[in-house]
Amino acid sequence: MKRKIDNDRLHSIKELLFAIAEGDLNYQIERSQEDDELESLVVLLNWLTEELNESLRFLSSLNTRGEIDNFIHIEFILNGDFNLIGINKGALMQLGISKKNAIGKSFTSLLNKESQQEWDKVSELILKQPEYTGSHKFQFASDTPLKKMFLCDIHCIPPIAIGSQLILISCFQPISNRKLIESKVKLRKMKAALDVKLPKPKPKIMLTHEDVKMVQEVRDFILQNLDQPLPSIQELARKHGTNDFKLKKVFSQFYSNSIFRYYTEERVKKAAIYLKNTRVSIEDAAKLSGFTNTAHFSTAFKKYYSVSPTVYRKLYNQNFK
Amino acid sequence: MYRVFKGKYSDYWISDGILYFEYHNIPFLDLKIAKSIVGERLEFQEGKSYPILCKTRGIHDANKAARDFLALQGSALAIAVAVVEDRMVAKDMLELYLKRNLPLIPTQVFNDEYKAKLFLNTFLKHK
Repeated sequence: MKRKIDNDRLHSIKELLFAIAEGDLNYQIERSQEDDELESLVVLLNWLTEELNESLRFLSSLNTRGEIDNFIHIEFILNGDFNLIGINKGALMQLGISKKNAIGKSFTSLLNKESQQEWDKVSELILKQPEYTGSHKFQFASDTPLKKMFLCDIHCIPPIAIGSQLILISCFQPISNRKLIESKVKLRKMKAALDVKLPKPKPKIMLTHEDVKMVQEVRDFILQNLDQPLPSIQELARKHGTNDFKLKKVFSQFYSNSIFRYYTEERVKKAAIYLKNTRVSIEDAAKLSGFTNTAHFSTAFKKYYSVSPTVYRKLYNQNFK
Repeated sequence: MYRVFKGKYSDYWISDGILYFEYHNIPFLDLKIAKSIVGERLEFQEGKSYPILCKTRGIHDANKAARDFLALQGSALAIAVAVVEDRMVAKDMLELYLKRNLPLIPTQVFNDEYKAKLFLNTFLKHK
């Protein structure tokens, strides 16, 4: 006989698959303490949904059937005691409650257990900094077996500004690709009407599966060899079975960066980790990150972080403050 | 004798040229915790690179931001990584993680510590 926990988890897996089929990649299955094949399936599905969501965000959704199918705007207004004094239609729809029942409730009562802990931390921050702004992920309490993550923006208006503290919490779900393209076209037209000079959009090429695989291999190669000089683009292209023109074009289309800039930025980011967390000298941090020339390193670092390595270290490394 | 550094989220010590790294109980590893862990480890290593034996038993789950950060920045000052894990679900999590994020340094998952050490010893000889 199947245990109840197995049935519950199987039911959750089915529900998540339905959610994916409907194009919604924001759901996750609540984890259990079990260590078995079924729990493996749960975690793999959770992770893959998260990966897919990240990859498709702002580009498209899996199944856009209409303009506003995947668009919900959620807004909460809280007073200084963190109780609801305002809520919009999207939030009411999402939570499945009436406005009458919602107003006056504490915000924490709308959240699930995990998010209540997160909210406790946020409310402490707000008490310390009345002008706090930040982004946090919350899950709202629900009876469904799946939990949905909402990336919420929190914006606090201090009492000095309007007499009493207000906290605005808002989030939205990505809109369909078609809508985004339409908005971009509209924006371009508006800007053109205002006679603003716009950069000409670069024509994009259609990427094949092989192109994607090739460009990811090139990226992996770069990341694995950050401490080595970057081979010429021709050499890189030859190694990965393509030509330099295509490699440059596909890489910049995929990573929105040129190959050389990507290579330099990754080395600079690596150096920043050493500067922030270790006592190694700036010369050694440069060497460990693949820079042979400290002057080149400093220039590249300043270009990326807007401050020199010395200033960066003083700002972020506790031992150098 | 080796010195043990007790960090906020993990313990570290060095023995026979290998850096041992054991996570505390972390129900959900997020980006903030991941950054703190890498920061603490780098501070402990004082600029030296080591083969790392990593015991992940304390981790229950992790989000994508933390996984992405560890895949890129988690290998700083590491020569090779041997992960010791015997839980079924965790091993599947690690397999997916390694498939999605090609490790930047040699990385393998082991059931027991002995085999993990043998793997890391090969990197000690080449040091």
